Order: sequence, then C-alpha cells, then structure tokens
Amino acid sequence: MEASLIGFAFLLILILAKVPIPMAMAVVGFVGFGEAINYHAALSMVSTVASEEGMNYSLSVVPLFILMGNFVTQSGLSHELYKSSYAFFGHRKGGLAMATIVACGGFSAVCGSSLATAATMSKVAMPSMRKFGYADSLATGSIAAGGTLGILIPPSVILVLYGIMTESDIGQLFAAGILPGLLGIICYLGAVAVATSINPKIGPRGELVAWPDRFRSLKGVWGVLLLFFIVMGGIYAGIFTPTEAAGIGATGAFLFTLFRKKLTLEILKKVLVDSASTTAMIFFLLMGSFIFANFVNVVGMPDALAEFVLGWDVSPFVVVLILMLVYIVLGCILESMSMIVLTVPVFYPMMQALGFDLIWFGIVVVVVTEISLITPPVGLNVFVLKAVLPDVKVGTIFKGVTPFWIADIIRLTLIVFFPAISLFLVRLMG
Amino acid sequence: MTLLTKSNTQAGAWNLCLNFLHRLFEPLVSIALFFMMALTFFDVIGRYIFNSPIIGALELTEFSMAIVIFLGLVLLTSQEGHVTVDLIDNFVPDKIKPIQNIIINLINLAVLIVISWQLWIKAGDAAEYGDRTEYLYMPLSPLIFFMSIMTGVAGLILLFIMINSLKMEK
Amino acid sequence: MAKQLNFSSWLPPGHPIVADMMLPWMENVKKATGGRVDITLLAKGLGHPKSYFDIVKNGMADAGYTCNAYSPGRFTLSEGVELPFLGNSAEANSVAYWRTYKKYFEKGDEYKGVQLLGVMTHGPGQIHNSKKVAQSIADLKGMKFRVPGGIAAQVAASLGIVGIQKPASQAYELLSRGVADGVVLPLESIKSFKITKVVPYTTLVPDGLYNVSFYLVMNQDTFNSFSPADQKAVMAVSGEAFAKLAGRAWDAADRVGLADMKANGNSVETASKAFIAEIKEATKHLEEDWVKKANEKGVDGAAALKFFRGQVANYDVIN
Ligand code: NA
Ligand code: NA
Repeated sequence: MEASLIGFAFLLILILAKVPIPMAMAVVGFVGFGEAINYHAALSMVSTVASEEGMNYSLSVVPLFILMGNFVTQSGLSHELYKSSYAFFGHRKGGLAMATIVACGGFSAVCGSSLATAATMSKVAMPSMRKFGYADSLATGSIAAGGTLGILIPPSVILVLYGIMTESDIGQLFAAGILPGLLGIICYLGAVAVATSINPKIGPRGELVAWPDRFRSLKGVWGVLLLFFIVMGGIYAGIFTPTEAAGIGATGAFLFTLFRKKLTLEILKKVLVDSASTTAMIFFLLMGSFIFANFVNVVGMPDALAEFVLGWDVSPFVVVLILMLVYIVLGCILESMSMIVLTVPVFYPMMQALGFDLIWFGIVVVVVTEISLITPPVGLNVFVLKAVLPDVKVGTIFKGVTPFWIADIIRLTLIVFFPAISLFLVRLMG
Repeated sequence: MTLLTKSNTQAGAWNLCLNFLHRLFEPLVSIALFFMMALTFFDVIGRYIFNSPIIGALELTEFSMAIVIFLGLVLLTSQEGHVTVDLIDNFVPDKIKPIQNIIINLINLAVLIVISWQLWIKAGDAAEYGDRTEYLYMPLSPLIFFMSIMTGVAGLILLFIMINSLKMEK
Repeated sequence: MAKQLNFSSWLPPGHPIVADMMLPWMENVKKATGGRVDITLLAKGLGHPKSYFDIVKNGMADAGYTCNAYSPGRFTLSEGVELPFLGNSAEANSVAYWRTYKKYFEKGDEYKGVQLLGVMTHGPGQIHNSKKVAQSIADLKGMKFRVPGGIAAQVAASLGIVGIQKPASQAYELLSRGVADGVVLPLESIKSFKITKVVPYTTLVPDGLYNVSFYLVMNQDTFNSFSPADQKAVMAVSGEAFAKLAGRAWDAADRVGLADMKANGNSVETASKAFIAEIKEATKHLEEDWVKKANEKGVDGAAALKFFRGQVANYDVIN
C-alpha cells in the first residue's frame, strides 16, 4: 500500500511537471515494478503490455468508433440535427441553447467522443446563437455541456474502455447509458430554463416555426436515427457484437458521407489519418495505464484498498460518495480518458468486493467524467470551444457551464441513489 | 511550439524528412484502418448472408490494429500529440522552461527506447519459439519487429525534435 | 523469512481452476515445505492468457498457468492429449498426461526456460447449442459456433460447423444475442461462462470431442533458489499429484455443470451410435496429422498415444 501511494505521489508530480500522462504512468509503473520485483521482470512487463495491447482484438472497437464519429462529423449531419431541434425549441426563452443541447444529444448517439461532439456542434450552433444575441457564456456553456453527453449516450469510447478494463459486457454498458443520457438532456434543458428565467437577457427567443415545418425538419435527421438504430439495434438483435458494431457503424457513416457527396479522397485520407492519430494517443494512454496498474497490482494495492475500506464499517454508499469526491477532485486536474484509465483498475475490484453492480458503477464513473470535462481548471470541452472560438475568454465559458455543472450534480445524485435509472434497460434486454 | 524555420538549413532538411515520412505513412495507416473497417463489415455480412464468416478475421483485425497504432505513434510523435497537463505552466519561470522541456523529452525518449528495445527482444523470442496466430497460423515475430521498429522511428523523431528545439534556443 | 512469491491468474479467483485447483495446490506447497515456499495469488492477472509463459519465464510472476492452445506454434506435443475420444474423466486423462509427458514429451523440450510443475486437461468437450439437440453432422452443418483454437477448432471444422473465432470472454455476449448458435465446451464451462440458459441443448459425446490441455509453470530462478529438499517437496505435491488434484476438481466441476443444466431444464442427450461413428470418421485425420508432427519433434507419436490410452484405461477413478 505504501509503495503504491509513493507511486501515486510521483505520478502526480510528473504529470504536473507536464510529462505526457502515458509516459508518466509508464515510468512510475516501470520503476515501481522493478523495485517491487526486479528490473528484468519490469523490462519484460513493458514489452508484454505493448505487444498485447497493440494487437488486442477487443480494443479494435476504439479506432472504429472514433472513425465513425469522424465520418459523421464530416457528413454534415450536425446541421440538420440543429435545424430540427431549433424548429421545436427556438421560439422559447433560451430556446437556441435548448436546441443546442438536444442537437448535442442527437449527435452523441452517433459519435463516441465528447470532444468531437463539442467541436462539431460549436461550428453549427454558435453562429445562430450569436445572431440572436445570446450571451457568450450561455452559448458556449450549452455547447461545452451538451458535448459531454457524447460519452454517456452510446456509442461511447469511454464506456468501451471501462468495459474492457473491468471485463464488463459492453452491450449492457451501452444500454445502461441511454436513460441517464436522456436524463442528462432533461437536466440541461432545466438548467437553461432556470438560467434564462434568472436573467432573460442571456437567451432571447428565436423565431417561431409552424408545426408543419417542424415535422418537415425531422426529415433531415433520419440519417442520424438510422445510424443509431443500425448500431444499437444490431447489437441487441444479435446481428453483431458490440465490438463488430463499431466496424458496422463506421462503414455506415462512411457510406452516408459518401452518398451525401461530402467525401473526396483527400477528406477520406484526412479522416483516416486523424482517427489513427487519436487511436495511437489513446493506446499509449492505455499502455501507460496497464503498466502502472501492473505495478499497483504486484504491490497489493487493490486488495489492501478493499480491506482498508471494508474495515471502516460504514455504509457502502458512504464509500461511493467519497469515491465521487475523489473523482471530482481528480477531474479538476486530469483529462477524462486519463482519469478513467488511471482510476478504474484501482477502484473496480473494491467496488466489486463491496457488492456493487459494475455496470451501474461504469455509468456513475462516466457521469463524473462528464463533469470533469467542464470543471476548471482542466475542462477539455471548454478548451475545445476556446480553440474553435478564440475570441471568447476561457473564464466566460467556465462561467457559462456553471448551471450545467449544478444540473450534473443533481443527475449524479439521482443515478447514484436510483441504480434502476441505469439498470432498467439492461434488465429489460435480459 | 514552433520548431522549424526555413532559415535553418538543417531544420529544412529535417522538414523534408518529416514530409517524406508523412507521405509514406499516411497512406499506409489509412489503408490499414479502412481495411479494418471493411473487414468487420464483410465478416458480418458473410456470416449472415452466406453463412461463411471471413476465416481469421479476428487475427487480421489484430494485425491491422497493430499497424494503425504503431504507424499512428510515429505521426502522433511528429505532431507532439501526447496528452499533457499544463496546469502549472504559467507559474514556471521562463528561464526554467527550456530545462523542463529537455527533461520531459528525455523521459519520453527513454520510454520509447525501452519499449522499442524490449519489443525487439520479444520479437526475437517469438521467432525462436515459432509463435503463430491461432487460426491463420501467421508468424507473430515480423509484426512484433514492426512494432519495435516503429517505436524506434518515433524515438528518432523525438530526438530530432529535441535537437532542433535546442538549436532554436540558441 | 520466506520470500513472498506471486502467482498470477488470468481467471477470476472464483473460477474452479483458481478456487479448486491452484489455491489448494498453493496450500499443499506451503504445507509440504513447512511454509518456506509461500505463494500468493495476485488480485489481478498480469496479462492475457497467451502471455503467461513469458510472464513466468521473465519473472513478472513467480508462477502461473495457461492453455497450451494459446501459443500456437510453441506446443505441438500437448495437442496429442487434446484429440477426440480420449476419455470421460479429466482425472484419468490428466494423470495419464503427466506420465506420458515424463516418458515421451519431456525430450521435446517445449517448456525451455521455465520449470514445468504440472499439466492437466479439462473434462470431455461436448456440443451445446441454442437450437436443438444435435444428433448428426447434418444437424450441425452451417450452425455458427464460438470455437476455441487448436484441436477444438479443427474438430469443429471437421464437423462442418461455421467457426466464429472470438475470445472466450465474449462467449456469453455472442450466445445471448444470437450471434453464435452454440459452443463446444466441457460441461463445467457452461456454468462458469454463465451460458446455461442460452444453450439449452447438449449432446454428450462419450469420451469427449476434445480436451484442452493446461500447464502450470514456475520461474526457473525462483525454483532454483529453493533448497534441494524444498524443490523435492514442491515436486512431490506437483507433477502427478497436481494432475490428480486438478483432474478431480475438473470432474467435480463437470458434475456441477451437468446438475446446473438439468436444474435449468436443459435437454441433455448422449450421442447416438450412428452420430459417434460419423464424428469418428470425420475427425480421424486429426490423429494422423498429430502423429506426424510429433515425429518431427523427435517423439514417437503413435507410441505416446498408445501409452496414454493404456494409462487412461488402467486408471481407477474413485469418486
Ligand atoms: Na455517444
Ligand atoms: Na475538469
């Protein structure tokens, strides 16, 4: 236990000193393993992890879901999504922000990444919100927060990683994410309503769209719905496994982009190369995490932690609350994916020992991760918006996400205390 | 961080070299990833419509993935794209920053060298034991050698990035 | 003070292999050496099943086990004890395997670089599916089965089964959603993979369609660091003693698996004489192929198989 705590301390120092997170985890994991066992074994451990993860079939889902998201982004479906949700919500107070949230939710259903969701929607939603005189804070806040839905509503790269690390059924994790994702949309809509009723100036009404036109606008979103139902329907109808679903989804998104004439050879190459770079980035993160996890494992941290916590003799829910606090604090410093790969291998054996459902825990972890994406000082979705909209101050965006952050805490509490929100659909599918 | 300027002739040569690597690796990585995608699609189609999945699709996927990841690593390294936290960047005095950069790059380099070196040994072992894949019986050692070499190439790129940034400091 | 030795397992602690074979064996080792050799199970495995030989060889863990089939190309001799129709009892097969290893396979030197402590095979592999009780090759033709690698895959292919080659960990996922129609597995695994409900039709093939062979190894330096007396004590509770312990646990687990199927109301039928004859005909080339490969490794394959069969036939399984 002490050894792993020293390891964690060193890891934190290296990360704060700006050493890339995968490298920091690899170095601490390697030295720790070498000290605990011996350096010959530690060297061999490095190559075992690198070669295993470099050709691990279960992980093939990661590049393919990333590819799917990148094709969808390229296809321009986001415009139709926004147009349609605008038709339904635009005339309300804060209606454009609401439309943004709903469009983000829809985009999340075909994109596995929060960053891609935020980046894509910012290009679509920001111009119209500016046109109607929205405050930058509400406009950017709704995009940054709406983007976080990308990792909870399936497909989700983070849920896949969680499933692989904990050996949980990815299909079940995906099913478990749907209702909490919808709850997230509702909570965010509530946050917009509350924020605009406190200060109506930040979100003026848009144009009223007549009902026939509203329904007509739905025609534009069939592509998203089709892709979502192919991927999720295929998994639950047993036509393919969740691992294969990624390949099917990517092929579908590719064909879609092709038929919409949004694909040149140059764009295709760009999409593929970008996806490959992101894949390599995630894999190095994973390799670092596995090296570090092996060190933590041989010094007996998971067992010691579980024993330690069981020794407290408190209600398991107190443990959950403490864990949530740990995540929210870590989430301030760490980027989402790093947080997941760093913490899940350490915590999940303990949660299992305490008798918690790992599918439910996965959803809880993803929701705290979503929160981490919009909390200062390191909120990746906020930075994405900053990159897309250089003229907006980071402080303004952080101010804008505050109501959503509060909505997230409410949602997290509901999900923690009512596991059925996550598990209802899982049980339904048997 | 801008590393390269045209006035620096060595950096110019380096630029050419980097361009060459990108022009070589980008099509390769694109093909491998596209192949992975198409393979899953046709495997599922084959299984359902023709009752004959693609033999060894799993292993072909694994091989393509290794190619995507390790070629991707080279591209990623040349873009300095690994995940970092620059939380305390504003508090680090400017004088210390170059030293900090050197140390960080040395750590990165050490990690890449160790991975490359150990993968090389592992590839040799795999060749000696005659390790193969389960279904297609493809030999594993060439793929592991490839992983080792690509990690090494990434290391070389990092080394050049370091040298160039040192020159820029002067 | 004894040095703490690590044992790495890719299966969870509750799996019969860990709970009923490895942990009791570790206990036996501790007792036999008066506590001087004390092996502890790590909370989490250090890698994929296919890496375990290297994990132990390079000292990441002091000891571990895995299936031979996970490193194709490395082991050919062990495939001999995986062939169809070798016996109904894992205990008899495992003990016979150890004896055959000592007499024939050892000179093939397949475990170079590690200390081989024991071998075992699981119980007879059977046919399980979600459609109907298969009673002929025609019934199986075109069915999609999740198949393991090695001999089991070759047997399945010989029977006209469409093999879906996915990791064993995805078995439940594949079957529950109907991606796969069935599996070939021993009775035990149906329960431990939690697929009793999704493959309600089982055909028992007397003497088994195949067996999967496993090995238990220790890091060579670790083993060499023991005193000669301790080495002897460790081997006394390993080797044949381990084969017996493990085989017996497999047989018990198979009985539990069968009871679980019956409790769930699954149909369990024995293969008809005609079906058995069909299977024998379809798979007989596997034995010929293996004998050839064994001969290439300098081992008399035919003699080894004959010896193995004799040992199984003469072994008294006392339940
Ligand atoms: Na999503
Ligand atoms: Na944060």
